[in-house]
Amino acid sequence: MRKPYFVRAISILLLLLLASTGIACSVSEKNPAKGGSLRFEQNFVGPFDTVTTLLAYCNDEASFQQLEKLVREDLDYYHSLFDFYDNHPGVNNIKTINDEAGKTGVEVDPVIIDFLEQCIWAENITEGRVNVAFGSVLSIWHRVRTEGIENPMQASLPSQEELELANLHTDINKLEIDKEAGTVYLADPGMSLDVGSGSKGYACELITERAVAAGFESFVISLGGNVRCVGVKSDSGMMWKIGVRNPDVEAENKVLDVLSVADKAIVTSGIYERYYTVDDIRYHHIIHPDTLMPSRFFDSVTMIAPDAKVADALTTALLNMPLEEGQELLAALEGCEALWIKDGQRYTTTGYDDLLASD
Amino acid sequence: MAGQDNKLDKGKRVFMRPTDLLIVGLILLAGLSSYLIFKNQNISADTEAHIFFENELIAVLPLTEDEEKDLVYRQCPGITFRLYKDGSIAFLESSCPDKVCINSGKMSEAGDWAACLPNRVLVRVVGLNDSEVQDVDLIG
Repeated sequence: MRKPYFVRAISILLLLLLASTGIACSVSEKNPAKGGSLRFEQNFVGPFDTVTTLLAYCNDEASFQQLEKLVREDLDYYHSLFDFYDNHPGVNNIKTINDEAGKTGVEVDPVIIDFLEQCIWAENITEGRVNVAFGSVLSIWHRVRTEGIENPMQASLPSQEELELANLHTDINKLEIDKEAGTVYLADPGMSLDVGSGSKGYACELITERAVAAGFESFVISLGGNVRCVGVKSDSGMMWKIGVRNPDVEAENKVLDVLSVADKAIVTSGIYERYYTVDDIRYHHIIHPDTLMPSRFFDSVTMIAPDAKVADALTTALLNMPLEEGQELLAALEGCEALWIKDGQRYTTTGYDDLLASD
Repeated sequence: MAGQDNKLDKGKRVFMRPTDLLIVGLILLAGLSSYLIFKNQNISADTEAHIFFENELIAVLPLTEDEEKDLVYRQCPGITFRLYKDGSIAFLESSCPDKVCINSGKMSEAGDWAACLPNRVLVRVVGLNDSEVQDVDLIG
């Protein structure tokens, strides 16, 4: 007589248990701690005069701290190597090369030599739309921009004459690399290197390589707009979702597109952050090598590539050329896509839409 | 008596009675609704702004749609932050030379950030719900 009630009670209890585990599962699915893979995030303000964000899935706090230490060390070191404003004790950097222009070759870390060779390659394939030896012109713009922001009433444009004189000292062929001796020499004393385009992506890729070699397989490093994703999110196996910033900073939607990627670099360059205003007209920091004035083709360009070196090497060039030329350039490069924005209009390479997150 | 026994005999053979089904149904309904409530809570959860000075977290500000407010912190007296009624935050004033921080505009979406390098200050918008529900891991 009692048995059926007992059976019923048990079965109801079991169902209750089932239902509650159902709830528990659906909740714990959203908990990144599942699978022993924890999500960590750290920011570094300072190196490369920007913000670096490190996002990673690790098994425990200790391994994330190891990754964090590695990234911090490398950021500081590469910042000292690629600094072209300041000297750093005990290291020959880009500034040292500029200081010795027309005087002597400077012995540098092989990383600088590899980087400068990539700069020469980029200058070559973009027909000079990005030029590491453009420092003499860019430094004039840097000066007037800084003065103009500090003292907006007196903000002024550089004279065309001054710009053209400076442009006489931008011949990349005068950048002489002696690989055997490990030296770099600027054969024109009026010349200087500006590594603002390319060095962050280059460093980002080198840091990524070292972290991968150390065994980390699920992380993202974003070095001031140079985003490098490694693997997928190891707690869930989902792709990384990277938002592309809207160059219209006043717009409601901060993010234009969400890209779903694994093992890719996403680099955005735009004219929306660094600028100054003269007579109500904005003058930004991407300077066209022909007009020597701020480039007018696009508001921003986002390039997706297998690695951050190539991506950061070419985004400035893409801002300095018409759409068709940029599309042609990228079609010749393996695994490269791009999104261009001008006045709210979007233009893409043919494979770009495949990278968009579906939801 | 015989009739009662009959009924019980029947009960032994039937695994579930209509009332049991009702109970099971109610349990499932309760499970489903609590799941949906959980889910909705996650989605509607707010964002908050984390303010860092020299990589140390100095303030956490819930980005609620409330009143407009200006904030200054002793660690970085040169900077004024503004919380807006629409649930966003921005660098309003800064002592820095380049004003890149102010040019970054308003931030409200999880993953968004802006920094004032000369003042060593970073603002990050963080979603209160965890990663799986977040739309974007990082804004490039």
